[in-house]
Amino acid sequence: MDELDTPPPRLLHEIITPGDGSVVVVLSGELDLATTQRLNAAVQDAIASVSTCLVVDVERLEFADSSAIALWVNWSNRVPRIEIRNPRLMVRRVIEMMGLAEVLNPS
Amino acid sequence: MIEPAVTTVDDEPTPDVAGEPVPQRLRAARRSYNVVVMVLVVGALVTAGLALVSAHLASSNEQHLLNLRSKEVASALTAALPDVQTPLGAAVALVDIDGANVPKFSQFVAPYVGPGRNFVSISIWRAGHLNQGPVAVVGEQPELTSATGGAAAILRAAAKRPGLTVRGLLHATQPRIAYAYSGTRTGPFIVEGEQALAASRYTKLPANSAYSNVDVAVYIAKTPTMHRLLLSTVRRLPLPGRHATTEVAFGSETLTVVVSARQPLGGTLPERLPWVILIVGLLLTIGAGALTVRLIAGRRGAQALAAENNRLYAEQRGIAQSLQHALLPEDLPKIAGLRLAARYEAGAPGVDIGGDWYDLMQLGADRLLLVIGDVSGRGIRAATTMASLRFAIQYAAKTEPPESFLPKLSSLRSLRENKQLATVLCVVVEPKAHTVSVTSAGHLPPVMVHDGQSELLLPDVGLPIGVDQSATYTATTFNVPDGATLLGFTDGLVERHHETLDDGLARLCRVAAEVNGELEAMMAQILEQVRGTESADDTAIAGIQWTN
Repeated sequence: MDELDTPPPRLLHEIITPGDGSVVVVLSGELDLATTQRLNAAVQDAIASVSTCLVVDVERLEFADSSAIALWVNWSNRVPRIEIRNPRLMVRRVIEMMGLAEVLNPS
Repeated sequence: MIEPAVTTVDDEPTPDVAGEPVPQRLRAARRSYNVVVMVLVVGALVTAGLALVSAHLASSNEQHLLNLRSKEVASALTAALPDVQTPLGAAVALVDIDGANVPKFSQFVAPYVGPGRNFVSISIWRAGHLNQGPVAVVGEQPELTSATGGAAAILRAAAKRPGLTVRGLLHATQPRIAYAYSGTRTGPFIVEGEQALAASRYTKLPANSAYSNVDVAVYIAKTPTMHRLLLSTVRRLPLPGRHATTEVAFGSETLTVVVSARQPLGGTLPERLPWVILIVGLLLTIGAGALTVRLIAGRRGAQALAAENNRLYAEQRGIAQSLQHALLPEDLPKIAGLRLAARYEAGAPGVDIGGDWYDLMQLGADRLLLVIGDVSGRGIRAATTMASLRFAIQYAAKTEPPESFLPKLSSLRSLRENKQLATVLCVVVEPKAHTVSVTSAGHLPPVMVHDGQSELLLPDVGLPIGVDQSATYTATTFNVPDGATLLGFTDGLVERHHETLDDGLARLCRVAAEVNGELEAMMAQILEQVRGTESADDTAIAGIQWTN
C-alpha cells in the first residue's frame, strides 16, 4: 500500500493486476480534490496498461466528491471500459444523479 | 435581485505583522531591544561575578602562601639564635666556674669575635658591680654603655632572668644588637656580646636561595619602624604591595618579619584567571547579544514572511471571490408575473472558492432561462471554467434550446485542459403557458413548492458537461400551478459528509414545504435550515415564484 497523504493518510490505494488485461485499483479513505491529484499521478502507468477493463473498487471509500467523479470520468476516457465496484450508497447515488451510471458502470 | 455574497475575507482574522499600527511595531522593536539589553546585562553581571570570585580566591590563596612564607622566614631566623646563645652560654659557664679568669675567657671567646665573625665585642660584667664597667672586654668597646638608661640598667634586668636577653638596636650610625647572658644558676657574672649590623641594613639574597621569590624586612620590635630595622632585601621600605607579617619571640625581644612576594607565589595562572574569565565572559556575552539580535531578526523575518503569505493568500482568495462575484449577474431580469431571486454563499473561511454559478436571462419577450451550474474542483481554475460556461450559455441560449447547446459545451478548452466536469441545470420558463422545461446535465433536480407541499422535478438526466461531446440531452416539461415556487441549487445546499444526497434532498423538501412568505424570505430560511453552519462548500441557489 502506498500512503498518499500524510499524516494521517486520508486515502490509501492498491493496484492489482490479474493478468487478463484488466487492472483493479482498490481505494479506501477519502477521495476529494486534494487526494485525487496525487492518486491520479500514482496510478498513471497502471491505467495506461489496461487493455480490457479498469475496475475501481471503492467499497472502503468513505467519501467521494465531484472531483472524484471527474477523475473517474477522466479515466473512463482512457480505457475501453471502467467499472466502479461496490460503491457505498452515497457514492452510487451521486453517480446516478449525475447521469453517469452508463459511463462509470457502478456495480 | 441579488444579495451580495458574504465576503469572508473581511471576517477572516489574518494576523498581519506588516500591517500593524506603527506604535505597536515600535513597542515590539523596543521589546526586542530590551531582550538584547537584558542578555548583555545578565552576561556582564555573571562574568563580573565569576571574575570577582576568582580574583578573591586567587587573592586569599596568595595571602595564605605569603603567610606561610613569612612564618618560614621567622622560624629560619629563630633557628639562628643558638649560634648566638651557645658561645655566650659557654663563656658565662666558664667565668662562673673560674671566677673571671680573664686570659682563659679571652682565649675561649676570641674565635667568635672580629670582622666577619658573629660578634664585634664580648665582655664580662660582675653582677652587683655593674656601674664599675666590664671586668674584661674582647674586641671593641661595648656600645651598651651608651645605650639609653645605661648598661647597668639593662644588665640588671638581664641578671634577674636567666638565659638570653636581647637588646637592639644600639647606636644609630653603627647599629648593634646586644645579647646579655646570665647563667641558669644566677652567678656573679654576666656575659655581654654585641653584633654589628651593616649601616644600610640592605641584604641581597642569593638568587638560588629558598626565599628568592619574596622580599623580606625584619624589625626588632613589635611595630615595624625604620630605626628598628634589622635587615631588608629591598633598598626602599616599606615593602610594596601585598605583604604578610609574623611576630616571633627573639630572646627577650620580638622580631617582626614582613614578607612580600616578588611574583605570585601560586603561579601566574590564578593571578591572570580573573582577567581571562572577564575577557572570555565579555566576548561570550557580546556573542550571545549578537546571536539574540540575529534570532530576533530571524523571527521578525519569519513573521513578516508568514504575514506576507497570509496577505497573499487572502489576496488570492479575495481575487477569486471578486472574480466569482464579477461573473455572477448584476441585475436579474424583470418579467411580469414572476418574482426572481438568487444567492451565492461562499464556503467556510479557509476553503477555496468553488465553481458554482447561477444565471437568469430573458429569452425573447416572455420566456426566461434559469441556469444553475457547478464545476468540479476549486479555486481560480474552477472559477474561470465557470465563467467560460456561463458566457457560452448566455451566447448560445439566444438562438438554441438547452438540449441543443449543452453537448457543445464539452468542447470548451478550459474544461478539457483542467479535466473538469460541470453539472448544469437549465430551466426554460414560459409564464403564460404555466410550464417549465427542465434539461439536466448531471445536475441535481429542482424543487417545486406549492401550497405547503414540495416535490423534486425529476427530468431525464444527461451526462455532465466534459464527459462526452456526443452526449445527448432531452428536456422534460412540467406544469406549474399558480403561486408555485421553483428552486434550482447546487450540491453545497444538500451535501453533507456521511449522508447520501437523497437524505439531503429529503431534508430540503421537508424544509421547503414548511417555509413560507415571498421568494427571498423563503430562500433565506432554506439556506439557514438546510445548509447548516458546518457546510464548507459554496452554494448557489436561484428561484422563480409565480405571483398570479
